[in-house]
Amino acid sequence: MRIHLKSIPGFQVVFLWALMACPLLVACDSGNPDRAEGGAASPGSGAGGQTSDFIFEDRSRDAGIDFVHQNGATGELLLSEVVGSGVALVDVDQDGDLDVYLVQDTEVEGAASPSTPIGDRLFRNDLLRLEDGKLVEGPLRFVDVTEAAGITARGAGMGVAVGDIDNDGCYDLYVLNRGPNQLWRNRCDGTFEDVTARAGVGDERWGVSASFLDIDSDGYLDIYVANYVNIPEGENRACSSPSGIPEYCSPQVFSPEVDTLLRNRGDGTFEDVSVSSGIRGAAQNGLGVVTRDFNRDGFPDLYVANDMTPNFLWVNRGDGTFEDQALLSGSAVNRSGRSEASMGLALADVDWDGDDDIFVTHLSRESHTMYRNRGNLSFEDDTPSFGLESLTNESTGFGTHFFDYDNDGWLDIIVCSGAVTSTRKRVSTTEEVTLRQPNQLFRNSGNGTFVDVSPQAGPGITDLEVSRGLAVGDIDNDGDADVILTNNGGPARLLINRVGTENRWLGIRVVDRRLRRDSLGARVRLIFADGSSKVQTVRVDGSYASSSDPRVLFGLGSSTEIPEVEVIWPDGWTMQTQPEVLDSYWVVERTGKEAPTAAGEE
Amino acid sequence: MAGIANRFRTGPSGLRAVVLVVLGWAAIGSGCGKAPSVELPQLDPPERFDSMDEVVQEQYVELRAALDGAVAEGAADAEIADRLGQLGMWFQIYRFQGTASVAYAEAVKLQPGNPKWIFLNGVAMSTLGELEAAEQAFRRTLELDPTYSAAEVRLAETLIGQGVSDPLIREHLESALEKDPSNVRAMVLLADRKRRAGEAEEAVELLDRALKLQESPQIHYHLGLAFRDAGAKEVANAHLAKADPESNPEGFLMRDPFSMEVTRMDVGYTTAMKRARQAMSNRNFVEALNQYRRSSDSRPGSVEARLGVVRAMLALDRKQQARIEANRLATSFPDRPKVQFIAGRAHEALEPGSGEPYFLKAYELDGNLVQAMLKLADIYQDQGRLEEALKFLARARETRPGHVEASPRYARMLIQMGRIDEAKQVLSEDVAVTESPGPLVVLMDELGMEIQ
Repeated sequence: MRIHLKSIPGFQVVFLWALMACPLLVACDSGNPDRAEGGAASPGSGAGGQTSDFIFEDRSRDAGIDFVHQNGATGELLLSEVVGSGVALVDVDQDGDLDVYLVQDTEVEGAASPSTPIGDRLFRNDLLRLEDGKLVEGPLRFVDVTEAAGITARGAGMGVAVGDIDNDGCYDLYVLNRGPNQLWRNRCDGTFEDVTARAGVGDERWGVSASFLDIDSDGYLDIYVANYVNIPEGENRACSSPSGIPEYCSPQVFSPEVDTLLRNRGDGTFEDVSVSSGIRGAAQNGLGVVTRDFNRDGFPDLYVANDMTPNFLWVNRGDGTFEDQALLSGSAVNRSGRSEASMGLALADVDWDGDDDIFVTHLSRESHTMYRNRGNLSFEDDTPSFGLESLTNESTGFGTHFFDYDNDGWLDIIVCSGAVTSTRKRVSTTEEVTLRQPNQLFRNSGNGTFVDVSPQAGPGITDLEVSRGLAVGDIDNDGDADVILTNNGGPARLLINRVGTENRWLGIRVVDRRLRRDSLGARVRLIFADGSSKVQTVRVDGSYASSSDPRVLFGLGSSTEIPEVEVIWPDGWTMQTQPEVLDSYWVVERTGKEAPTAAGEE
Repeated sequence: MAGIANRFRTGPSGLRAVVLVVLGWAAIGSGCGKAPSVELPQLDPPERFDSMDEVVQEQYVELRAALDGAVAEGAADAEIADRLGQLGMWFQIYRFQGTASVAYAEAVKLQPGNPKWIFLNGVAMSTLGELEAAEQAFRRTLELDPTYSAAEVRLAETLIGQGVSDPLIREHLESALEKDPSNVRAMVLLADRKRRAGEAEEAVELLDRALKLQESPQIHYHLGLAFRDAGAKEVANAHLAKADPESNPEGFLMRDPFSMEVTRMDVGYTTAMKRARQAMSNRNFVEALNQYRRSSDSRPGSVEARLGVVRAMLALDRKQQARIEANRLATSFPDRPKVQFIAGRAHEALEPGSGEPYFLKAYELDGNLVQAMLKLADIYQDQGRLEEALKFLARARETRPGHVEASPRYARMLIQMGRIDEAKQVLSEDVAVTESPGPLVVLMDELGMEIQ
């Protein structure tokens, strides 16, 4: 791990986590030669100490992630059994490493068994810890601190979103349930308090995913909740195959549910503006949500993945109202004009043309869809030309993320998969009815197409499981992106990247000091000497019911060129600088005291 | 037919080839003027086919065994190929594309010159995402019939799916339109290519043409995007308002005859079944009969459709016809309780008491079939065999406690037999669980029971 705390003259670049957590720290560089001995990034330090050539190594067991999801499947085949659940990678204790929050469905039978602690679980990452005022790096190890943190999330858990609701510099947790959601305020001392009732955010609909975004630019993060279906009391039931064989229902058997938009008043309470904002004008089967300023007007917009109904593209008019422009933009439905079973979402500039493209996961036989952003709120379903149609035709995808797993300079795609009906593929096969499917890793070839590299990714990807939630982040802070994913009715998988550090990289965290939090929606552009550039957006939302690392991580391949860094803040104000070295995380800070730019914002 | 197929193996060329292909297709389409001599079991598709179904597997095994037997008996290649192809079509309807593909491939082995199975195999392969194999199938179809524009459109789609870019795609689509100027699918795809290339106005022109040929929500969708790109946002929104993203595009723009043959089985059947049920509930039995017949035509093996035909006939008092049809069904499907039950009804309609063996058989096959028990009780009651009638009423009540018909009939019969205390017991128990307490309350009143 290489973490630089130095400031670059004329530019605020500091290692903010360290400053926030341990202000006396001066340096935390670690080209620690001892790291390989049980250290986080040492290949072969996984369970059983076996070495392998796979891209990812499953470190769940030896790192202490022993979470097993309970789906309550008792043979009744209820839709609710196959939907959950999510995971968050979030530094809840501000110590510079990503902790893990895993969502449990505690309403189901077995969720409270002696071997499985009840409720959601929070695992603290002890990779970095303070010892005598110094930040010390140890082996990757997680400790269950749920009880100590005071978290008693015991709803029918579906997903989790993270955001700092009160701008105190600490990430809060919003847990989506099949029933009242819960908001856990981070007290910044390692403990949380349930502020759901006080904040007025206990939406009782079946929420799956949520996004934090500042819809009105007042500095406080508001919440958009993607709600799934409305199943009246007592009507949660199974469906049947044609010959009467019980089967999981399609969401279309039930009524679609309206989404919820909660405006942060800035005083610890939220106002339900779902109706006044216009988002209640349509009800669909929401599963995934991600926010982005698609039209670059300074107000964050929303893209919502709806299951078997057209997706939403809520364009923020800047006056507190939203307009769905998905159909007109070409992003509501696939290129045939048909809505698909949208579940997971990933947004990033996959072709480095300066704007974020949308990747949506779907049911098998639909293929996942890549909507290429053509600018001006116009998208094109270019799935085939990316080579993704045939690669994704056979799986039912949920969580997904764009990330450069090999740091070669191109954003790759990970998709976790698992069926939702016990349909068998072939008449001639006699295998057990199962929902299990392999996950997939697609490598961006850099020529506009993706190739399936799943076989090289390792058992955590290729094993047949029913995967749902997925979060991506540099869990061991070594400069490449790792993965954690959840399995419905199975164990969570902590997959540590073993190959990314073979290439050069640059990590950036963008913090608005005035708000004391990550500047979600800020865009980070690397500008190279040849005039080319690459942009990534600071975000934690997307995927499916999950939340990821807020830092942006650029792979640079074998290049030794240190690019110029430009940060475009959500309000359009920009600042530029150049880091001193590669293979490091840098923090870009905005204090409000910077010199005015040409745009004259400050 | 086999002879024609053999001639294709020798590699016909030019006009002669086209003529032969057309002749061959015509011959295949007509079955050479005679039905296949191989006796094979009928497939019986369930009403919905979006999931794996044990019934399908059983039918598959049965049909494959029969096919193997036919092969062993030396049936003609063409006949076997034809049935294999039909098998593939059935599985395509069930969306078991892989199995469909296997069946088509086997048919192609026997009839390598028949473009129908090659083409449909391509469709199955493309649905499976096996685009290269699909591409080969469509290319081969075009070799056999260069005029088949649908294959050219499918080829273009397959190439699009493989990420092949213009101008090759456009060439195929333009070629398809030359062959068939009314090919809506080609128009929409070509318009899409043009729109993406910035030729929005030309796209609008093509899509306008397509819309005149076929009113379709999907064409409105594409037209909306084309107008958007042409800068006409209001018109775009007007068209997008007519787009229905939840409608099924597979039923749209499907101009190729072979695929239509497959989808007709599907769309025709499901639509007709829906209409038939609606008509039955509206007591429009003539319409119901027509729709059930249409369903049965779409899927000749469908038991549900044929049962509907019998029900509608009975409702129309066409007892004789109903019994004939029911007898056929009962013979073909001796193990289906619903079939035996409807046969019992048809017999009973003509001659009271003659339904007994069918109802007994239905009850034997499904010990929980309450309707069969009630019918048997009717018969025995009419014949004065009260104990037997009572036995079946008791069994019906036991199977469905509080059943709207079984409970009051059982209680009334006990009353008629003078078993008042038992009747009271039944009434007091069942009134608490039934959804329709009315008839029970009437009996309780008759017996002077207190009604809470």
